[in-house]
This record gives sequence, C-alpha cells and structure tokens, in this order.
Amino acid sequence: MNPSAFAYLSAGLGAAVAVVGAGVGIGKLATGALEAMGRQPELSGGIRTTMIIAAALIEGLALFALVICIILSGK
Amino acid sequence: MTLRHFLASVFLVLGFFVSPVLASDEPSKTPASASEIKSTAPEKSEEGRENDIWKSERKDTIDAGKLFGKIIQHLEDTYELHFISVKVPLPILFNDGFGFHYFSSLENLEASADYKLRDPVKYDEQKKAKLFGFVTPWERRDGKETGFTLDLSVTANRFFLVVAMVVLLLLTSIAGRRAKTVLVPKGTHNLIESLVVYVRDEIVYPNVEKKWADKLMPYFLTIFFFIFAINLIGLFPLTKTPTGNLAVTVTLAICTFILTQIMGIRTMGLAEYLKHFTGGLHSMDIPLAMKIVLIMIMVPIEFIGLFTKPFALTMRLFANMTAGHIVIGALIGLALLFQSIVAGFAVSVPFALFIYLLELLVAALQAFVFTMLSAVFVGMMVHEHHEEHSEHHEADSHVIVEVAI
Repeated sequence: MNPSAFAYLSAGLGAAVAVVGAGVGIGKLATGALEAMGRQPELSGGIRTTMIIAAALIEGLALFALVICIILSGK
Repeated sequence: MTLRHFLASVFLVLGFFVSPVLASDEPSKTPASASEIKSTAPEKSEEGRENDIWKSERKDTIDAGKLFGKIIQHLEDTYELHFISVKVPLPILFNDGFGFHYFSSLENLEASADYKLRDPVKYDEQKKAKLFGFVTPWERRDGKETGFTLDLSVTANRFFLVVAMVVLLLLTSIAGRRAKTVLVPKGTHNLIESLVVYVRDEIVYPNVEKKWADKLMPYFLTIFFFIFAINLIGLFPLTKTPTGNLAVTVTLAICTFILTQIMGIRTMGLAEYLKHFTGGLHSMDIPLAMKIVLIMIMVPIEFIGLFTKPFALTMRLFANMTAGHIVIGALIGLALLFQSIVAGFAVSVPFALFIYLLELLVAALQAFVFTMLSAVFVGMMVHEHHEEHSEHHEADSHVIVEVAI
C-alpha cells in the first residue's frame, strides 16, 4: 500500500470526526437557543446573536481540524 | 472620515506586504475553469503530461485525485488573470537580496537575463516542503540564493482586493454625498445606510461600551464592508476570492488583534493591562502561596489565549470561503468524473446552484461573524476596565461577553 494512502485515509477520517463533533455541538446549541426563544420570544434577538457567536466558536474548532486534514491530504 | 480612509489604506498596504504569494506551479498553462479542463484535455493527454487529470492510457477516465488537485490549484493565487481562454498578464514587482526588480509579465521575467521560472516539478516539491507553500515561482539564472523575497506583484488576489476597494469607495462616497442632502434614503444610499445601521445597532452597540463604540465604528464598518465585498466578488464567475487566501485573512485578524491590545492598554493602562494576564487572580482574596501557583498556571493560558483569538478569526474566514469553492468545484467535477451529461444536469447543476446560494449566505454571515467577534474582543478589553469602576452594565453585553469567554 502506498504510504500516502494512509495520509488520505487519516485526512478523511479526521474530517469526519471533526464534523461529527461540531455537528453535535451546534445541534445542542440550536436546541437550547430554540427552547429559550420558545419560552421567552421577547429575548429572541439577543439569543440569536449569542447563538451565532457560540456557533462561530464551535465552527472555528471544526475548521481547525478541517484545515489540518486539507494540509494532510496535500502532502 | 479621515480615520476610515486611513484604515482602508492600512488594510491595502498590509495586504500587499503581508501576503507572500501562493502561485500556481504552471502560471502560463493553468486552465481557468473546469469547463476548460474538459475542452482542452484530450489534446493534452496525447502529450502525456504528468500533471494532467486525464489518464494517458485511457482518454475516457479521470483520476479523481488529480481533479481535486486541479480544484485546489484553481483556488491558488496566480500572477495573471484568467478569463476562460484569455489571460491578462499582471505586473511583477519584487525586492530580494539583489535589489528591486520589475517585469510586466511572467513571459518578460522568463526572457530576462537574471531570472527564470522554476522547473514545475521541482517547484511542486519545494512548495510541499513548506507548510503553506510560500515559494516564489522564479529563481536566479546563476543559481544563487536570493534570501528574503518581498513580493509586491499585483497578483490576481491583489487585483480583486483593489477592485473591492474601488467598488466600496464609489458606493460609500455616493451614499455619503446623498446622506448630507437627502433625508429619506433611496437606492445606493439606502443599501449602504441600512448595512451601516445594522452594523452599528446589532454588532457594535451591544458589545462595545457606548463611549468607545462611536469612536471605533469606522474600524468595524471598514472590516465588515471590506470582507463582505471581497466575499461577494469571489462569487462572481471567473474571479478569485482574496479571503480564500490565508495572507489576507491573517492581515485582517492582525488588524483586530492590534486594535484589541491598543484598546486594552488605553483603557486599563499598561500596569492593569499586564495584570489582566493573571485572569483576575491578582485581586482575589486567597492565600499568597496559592495565588502564586495559580498565577503561574494562568499566565501562560491567558497568553496563549491572546493568540488563539486572531488565529481562530483567520482560520474561520479562510476555511469558510475556501470550503465553499472546493465544494462547488467538486460538484462540477462530478460531471467530468461520470462523463455524462445526465449526471451533469441532474447532480452537478442543481447541487452547485444550491451551494452557490448557500455561499451567498455564508459571504454575509462570515463578514458579520468576523465583525461581531472583533467587536466582542474589543468590548471585552474595554469592559474589563469598566467593571472595576462602576456597576452599571447593559444586560445584553454582559451575556455576550460571558459566552465569548
């Protein structure tokens, strides 16, 4: 087996794991935000802003992993 | 107004200086788009070129890995503009150990006495040896080391940065002139004013203290409009996305980083600014020995935290803009991979269109997120100082700051 095949394999697996983690995180975040908005619709503006910031932070972590995977697949 | 102009020029200058260019390995031969790969590929496969996505033995199959390589290559910066088959050469300016050099195009560089283009295969290897591939595509004819090269060439990315700047200057100056005379906004004026008001009311005011918010508005407006304009320009066919280049996003993040630290020092004073690296431990009522141990743990963490913020800003913008383009390229590539018109119309076109529309959302969202996080970081610095002197907080800003920490 070509050694670079392992790099591709690990890049693909790494991307998958990172995306699963981020997906769970953002899913939980959205659940919480939607429940809060349902309970207190008058606060929905502030909650949405806060949610987007938190989502961006979670997404940032996932993107770190994805960048590493892209670099790995380029080797 | 003057501050805004100053910041715009700072962006431009930094963008020029900080970005070492990601050049494509075959600047004069790179196909501009996937459609061109298809139209020109059969002749190339007869030449049996190593880099070709078409396997030389069978003309009807494609190597998916090479196709992906082509997509990545398409996202890289080039020293000329590609409009399908028309190539517009851009000037090359650089300063290295042998002084300042100017060439009007890559062909002129190849024809010069001192410099020549690198061998494509060796150039590929050299790029892979460096993390982000910052290698100039040219070298000295006499084989001497050039030392540090300051590349000031007008590359495709820089060209579109300037396009974004010109468009923004036009739009904002039209809107600004109208705003002085007309009370009810209309047309261009309405477009710009609604965005400006949105940035002010939804991003800056909830996060930054009012006293500083008005003073810092020009900065936040500049980064918001700049990123938004670049992202949108990248969505036009046949253009490049400068925000899909690490150098550009690093520059933007450095601007926010510098502003954050300056605001911290200005509002807290240097001594208090240095003390905030202890994470608030210095003022806590705990035994001295414990305090020293905790501070020894906290200071490195806070210090690393200082740099992860701009790093996250950089990577978020870069990865978001790059990822969308790679996905569109891969979906179009599917039609080439399956070699079928049905697959093209049934899969590639609708999915690529969907991702394209999603990219429109992402273009706006990333500009929003970048500006929002910049405002939160600056707001945190201003806020920390504020906390010690008065107990009046806006509930809104407090919640957001807590989350961001």
